Amino acid sequence: MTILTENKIQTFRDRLYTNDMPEIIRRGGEGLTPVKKYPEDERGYPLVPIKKITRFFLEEMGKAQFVLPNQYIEELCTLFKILIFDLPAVSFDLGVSISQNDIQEADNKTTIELLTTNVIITYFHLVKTNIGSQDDSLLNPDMQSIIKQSTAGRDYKHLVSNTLKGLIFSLAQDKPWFEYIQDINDADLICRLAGARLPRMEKTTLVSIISKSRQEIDGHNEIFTKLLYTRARTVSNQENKKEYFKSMDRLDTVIYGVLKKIDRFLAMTYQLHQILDLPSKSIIGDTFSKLRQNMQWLFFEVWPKALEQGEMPHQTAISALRYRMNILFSVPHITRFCREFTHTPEFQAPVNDLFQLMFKALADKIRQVSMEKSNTRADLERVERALFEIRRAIENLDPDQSQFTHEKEDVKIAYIALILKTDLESLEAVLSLCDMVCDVTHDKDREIMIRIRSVLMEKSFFPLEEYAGKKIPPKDAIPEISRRLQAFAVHYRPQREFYRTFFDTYIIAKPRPKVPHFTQFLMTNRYFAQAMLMHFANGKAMADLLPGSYIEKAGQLLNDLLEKTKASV
Amino acid sequence: MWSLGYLRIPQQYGNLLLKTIYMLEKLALQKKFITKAQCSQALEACRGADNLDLALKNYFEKENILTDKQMKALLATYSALKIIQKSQVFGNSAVDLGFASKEQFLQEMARQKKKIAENRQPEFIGKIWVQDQTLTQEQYQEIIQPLRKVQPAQGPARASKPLADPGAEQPGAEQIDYSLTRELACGVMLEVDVSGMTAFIRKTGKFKDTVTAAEIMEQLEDNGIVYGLVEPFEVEKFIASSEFRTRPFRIAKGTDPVPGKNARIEYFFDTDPLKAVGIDEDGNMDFKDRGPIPWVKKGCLLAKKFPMTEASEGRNVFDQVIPGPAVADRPLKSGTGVVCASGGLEAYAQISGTPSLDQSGKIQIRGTFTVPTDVSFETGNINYNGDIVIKGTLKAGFKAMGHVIHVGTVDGGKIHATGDVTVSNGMISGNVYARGNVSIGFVQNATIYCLGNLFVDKEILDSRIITSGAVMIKTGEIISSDITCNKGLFAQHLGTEKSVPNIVTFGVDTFTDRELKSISNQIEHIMERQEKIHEELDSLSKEIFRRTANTLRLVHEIDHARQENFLLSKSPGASSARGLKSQIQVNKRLLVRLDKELNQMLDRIEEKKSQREKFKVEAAQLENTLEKLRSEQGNFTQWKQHNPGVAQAVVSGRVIPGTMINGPDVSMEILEIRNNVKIFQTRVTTGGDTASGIDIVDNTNRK
Repeated sequence: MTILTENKIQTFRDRLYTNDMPEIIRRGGEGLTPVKKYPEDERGYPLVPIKKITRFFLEEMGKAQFVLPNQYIEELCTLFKILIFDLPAVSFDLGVSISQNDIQEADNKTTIELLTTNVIITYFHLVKTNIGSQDDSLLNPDMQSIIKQSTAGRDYKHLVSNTLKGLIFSLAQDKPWFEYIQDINDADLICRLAGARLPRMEKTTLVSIISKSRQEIDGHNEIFTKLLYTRARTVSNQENKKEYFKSMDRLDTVIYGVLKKIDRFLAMTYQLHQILDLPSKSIIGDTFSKLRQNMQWLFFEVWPKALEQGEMPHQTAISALRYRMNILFSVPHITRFCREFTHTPEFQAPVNDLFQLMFKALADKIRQVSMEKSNTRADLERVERALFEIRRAIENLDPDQSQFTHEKEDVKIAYIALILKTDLESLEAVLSLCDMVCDVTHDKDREIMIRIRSVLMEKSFFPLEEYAGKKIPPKDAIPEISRRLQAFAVHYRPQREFYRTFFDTYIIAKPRPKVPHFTQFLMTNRYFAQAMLMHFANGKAMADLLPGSYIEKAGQLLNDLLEKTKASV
Repeated sequence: MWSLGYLRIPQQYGNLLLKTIYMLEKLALQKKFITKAQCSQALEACRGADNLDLALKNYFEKENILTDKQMKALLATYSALKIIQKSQVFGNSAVDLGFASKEQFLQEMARQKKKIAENRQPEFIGKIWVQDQTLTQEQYQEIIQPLRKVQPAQGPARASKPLADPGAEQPGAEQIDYSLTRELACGVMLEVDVSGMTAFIRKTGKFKDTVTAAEIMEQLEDNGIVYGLVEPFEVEKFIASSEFRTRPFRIAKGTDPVPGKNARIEYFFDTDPLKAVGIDEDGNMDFKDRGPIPWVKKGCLLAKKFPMTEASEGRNVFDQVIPGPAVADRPLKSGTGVVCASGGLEAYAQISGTPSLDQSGKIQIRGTFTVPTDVSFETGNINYNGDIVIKGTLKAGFKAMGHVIHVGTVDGGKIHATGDVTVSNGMISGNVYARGNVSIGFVQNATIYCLGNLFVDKEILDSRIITSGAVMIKTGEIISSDITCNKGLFAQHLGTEKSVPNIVTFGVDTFTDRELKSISNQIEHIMERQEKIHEELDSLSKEIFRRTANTLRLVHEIDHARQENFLLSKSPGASSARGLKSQIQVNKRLLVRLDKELNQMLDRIEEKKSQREKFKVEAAQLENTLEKLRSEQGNFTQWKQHNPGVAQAVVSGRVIPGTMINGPDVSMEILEIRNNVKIFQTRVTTGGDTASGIDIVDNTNRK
């Protein structure tokens, strides 16, 4: 998870470069003294103190519970990129970099902070010396090279060796295995910031940590397995309903407790896997496949073979599936564990089944809303939540995007049908779901817009037909015609495409029987037809929306109509 | 050139004439009016003629190949054949639909054929039946509609269509009738469908199984059927088969064209920012609110083009190319402030500002938002995250919110600027708030708050001014106004004899004090809101946990019912025992109900989760706002420290009696007319005590 979000850095950047100050406070004016936050260099550029940047970065990192060395360096890189992109007219007060001796004497936490300070100073020194040049390479900094430059002229051998000694001492202590992680992590980060690498850990030390971790997960999984079997037995054998519910409630509470423990274990396994570059499978050991089996059983209805012969019926109701996912996604590290194994082809089937059902349920829900007489806000919120739910499932389980083509198409068809059916008032709310529909159907190219535009065009005539039923003088009808057309046009993007196509389709095209066309208004409500032409012929109002020739054409048609009307009178 | 058997027709003559020429040529050959060679020569000679019909006719006449009479006879025969063909299809449909009997149909067809034999023109059977009321108008339409040629699908017109020519027909929209029915010498009837995509043969009474596949193929080729023919062994099977006397055998099939895709551009900014009207909180139309004006940051993706994919052409049984539907390309055009990337498929913002899409489809970005007219109902309020130039008047009831704002005139409108404000002409009523300097022609009956200096050219009348800088109206007068300025006042005249006296407060930074108070209030309000959100989040988390726990009971019930049903269905005799079957049914209904209930409960949990997400987003936004406000608070506090008040007013003209002068610590009313004076707060010593006082001194030297 990202610690420094773009927004957070942007807010800091605004404050750092005093962009958050009104111009007059920064620059002053006639008789007005500016507030100068920083002293200026000989060119008049404010000297932004680097220590502010360092403090911000270290504070933000300090807020996170655990930061892996890779992530730490990536966050630093992101900070650099955002701070120097489109750099205003400033210079930097670099301060003094920390000496080798000061760093060597400090504890782990302080060492990391001091080394980080030096890296930041090095980077901004490069920026400062490059101000005004066309060199863009600093916009995408090579962190390895910057770290290397920050260590130039210093000998960190002693620091690295001391850090490793400290680590070896810490690893020799008898403590829970996960308590070693922070020590290894700190040592790794120090080594990296000092331009070195953490040496491969001694096999015996590693075996000792891993064997402890394996013992822990083995214990958890054993209880977990027993609980799952007991649960299965209770479902099959307990006939007394009262007892059944009592046992099940108790069992599920305990299962949830064990899941939390496993989740915490997997979180730490993940950290170890990241630091030592060891696959989770080797940290978990033999229990890995058993744990996977249990997770498949609990969350994906893949029953163990032994029980399968007992022929327990499979639960495929959407409610049960949603319930299971609700529980799964509340334990994020188990979710990641499941995501990893379901990426292996042989374990993909249950996840694919799950998504097939979810997409089907989503399409059904959209259709259900389509069938309602009018779409209330609550109905659409139901669809929105269903979209949220499936999007969350996609984010968490990351299924193969090329799968479920048919199901996704069905969702799109249902959505298009919903747009077609939706009344004018709810149209905006329905179309606001489009982005999410694109997300869940992996429509990155927004191909659905082709169909949406087509359906908007098809639909846009109906509200006019409906309004034409009312006998209203042309001048009074124009604003309503404009409003009704506008309701569709704004979603066509750009609207002028809508107006031109509308004009082509319903006004210029040859009328054909049973096909909606403007000429039908000439028969049913001539005043309305006149109002429509007046609307399109209004050069001032339509200038940005229709090509001039179309406005002229509308004017000609209007004149013809008025002449015919006059003649008939 | 495309070929039609032995007859070669230049493509530029158009497809429309093809059928006519083909039929005419067939009839002329049948009637032995012309030879094949003569036909080819005629077409070659008339190539490029504007009116091919006329050119051919003239050619035939000139070369004495066809007489007028022969030509007329040919055309009449052609027309009669067409009517008979059409009547045949229509009649068959009418019989199929049960609108007419077979006897009626055959009788009418016999009558029409008799007419031809008598050298009279036949009539369309549909028309006759409507006239003699065999068919109603509705029945006629029901038959004729499906028989009409397929029209191009309704839908968005192609962008390739010339914009300047609304109503112009698309070329090639008319369909060509390729239908053909002809008995071949080998005793088979050749039938080609109307689209020319399929050719069938069936055996006639003259068919003899001694005919060879090669003979059939040769005769088909003589009739132009050259593409998509079946393999000879299949023709041999046709010959050997006892069938295909009534049932047709498909001898050739064309290839359909594969449609392509038009190029498409998706825009990632609001291409049409000014909505017609907004809707206010009560659901009423708000003509002033037309939504915010889009603003994009440098580097932002503005548009993406999805290129067209060409259609692939097809071929009919005559080996003619059937072009796929035309596809249109659309260029992604970039103007000022926009840069194209990815080979012209993506457009990015080169500068921060307002993106716009012009009539020609060009995307541009401008750093300043310009309103060429007045700000009124036509434009709605202007809310823009950048500089604004309003060339007309800011009308009463409308607002302009932005950074640096230039306006022609303010007539009752409101301005909120985070930078400077310039009103070129003047301001009659209205309100200005600016975190910068304000320059204005004249001010009348208005309120101005500004962080910098206020520069006025002519006069300030009946207005209220609060500024953290100075008020400068060096060649004008201030009448009946209330002025509060921190850095002093510079004016020509302060009041007139007939007007209500002014109130002038100097050396006091009311603007900054108000800002600081407002920021404090906002911070307090946000912190209260944050507290409430945290409470809401806590309560929602508990609620979600409680509801999730409640779902357990339903899940267990479902598991139980499912298991029970499973066991029941496995019991011996389950399929026959009525009691068991009914219990299974009861359980199934229970499962459906439980599934529904559980879904509803999960919906409610999701609803709570979605509320929780919204609160989290709001909490993050509040945190961000709070951080900004705190920084702003610091900025204003520092500003105040850097800019202590200057308690003085310099008036180069007259100061009218009754004018109230307020210093930071003391006030004084001007009792007599004074000219060219400097008024300031000072320390006055009276009888050993020192107190603040207002002093007025001549300013002659300073002038």
